[in-house]
Amino acid sequence: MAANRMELIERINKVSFVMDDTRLFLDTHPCNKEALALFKEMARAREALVGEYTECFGPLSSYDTFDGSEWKWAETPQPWEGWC
Amino acid sequence: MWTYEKRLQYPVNIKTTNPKLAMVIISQFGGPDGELAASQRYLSQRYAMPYRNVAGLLTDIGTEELAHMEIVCAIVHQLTRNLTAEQIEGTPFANYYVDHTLGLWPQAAGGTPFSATVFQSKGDPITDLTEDMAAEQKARTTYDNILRLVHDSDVCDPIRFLREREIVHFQRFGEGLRTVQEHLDSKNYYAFNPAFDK
Repeated sequence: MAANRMELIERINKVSFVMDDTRLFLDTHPCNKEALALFKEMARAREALVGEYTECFGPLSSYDTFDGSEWKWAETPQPWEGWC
Repeated sequence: MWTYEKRLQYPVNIKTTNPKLAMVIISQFGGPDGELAASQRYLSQRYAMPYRNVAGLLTDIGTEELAHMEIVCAIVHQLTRNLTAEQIEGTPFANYYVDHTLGLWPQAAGGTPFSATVFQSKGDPITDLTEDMAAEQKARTTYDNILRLVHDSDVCDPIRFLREREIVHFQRFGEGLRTVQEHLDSKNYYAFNPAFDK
């Protein structure tokens, strides 16, 4: 389960980074069609991955909703803990 | 406002502690060209930026710097995690440990506390963006200096990522400066503050 969590986080990190980099590029090139399409494509991929993550491992963002009777937001691992 | 995501922008997974290296890398948390200074520089400057798209760029890069600060802190934390007094004794980390134990505190490698005096928010778009471009280069130099001292690939990897982002930010700020210059005319070419002298 833990390996699966890190695998999913890694995929979220990758698509999020493409969006982070493309966001800055679009700030100075707002009409670039290729970048606009890439941002949109990555946003769609990210939404699906974050949805899957939230469902399996709890909220990733403080605004994510999640099922269950328990408050998981503060309980899940902190990002600086690492895997080691 | 800001929201928090419970993940690092780039992963940090360090297997071997190294208090000596932690003392060097902490400079990119609270040092003169560190990520805390970078975030506060851009996020402070944006209010006086008269061009909305450039203010947006300052917000986005300033926000990314907060994520970089968290990466640097994660590196320092993992390099010092669970250290014993015996492991700390005789290392350059001993003096820091006396005041902060294994807690994170923003300071330069030389021990100087974080200070807002390391950056400006001048209220002049040309002045501020020129500072921002220099700041990205100074941070890149610092990461280059750090990389020469790091021989652990677990540490090199995230440091290389951070170094690359300095180069991208430098490029984007250059484009931001060009945007500002395009708003100038023959009566005000590099001469006056376009945010104040209208």
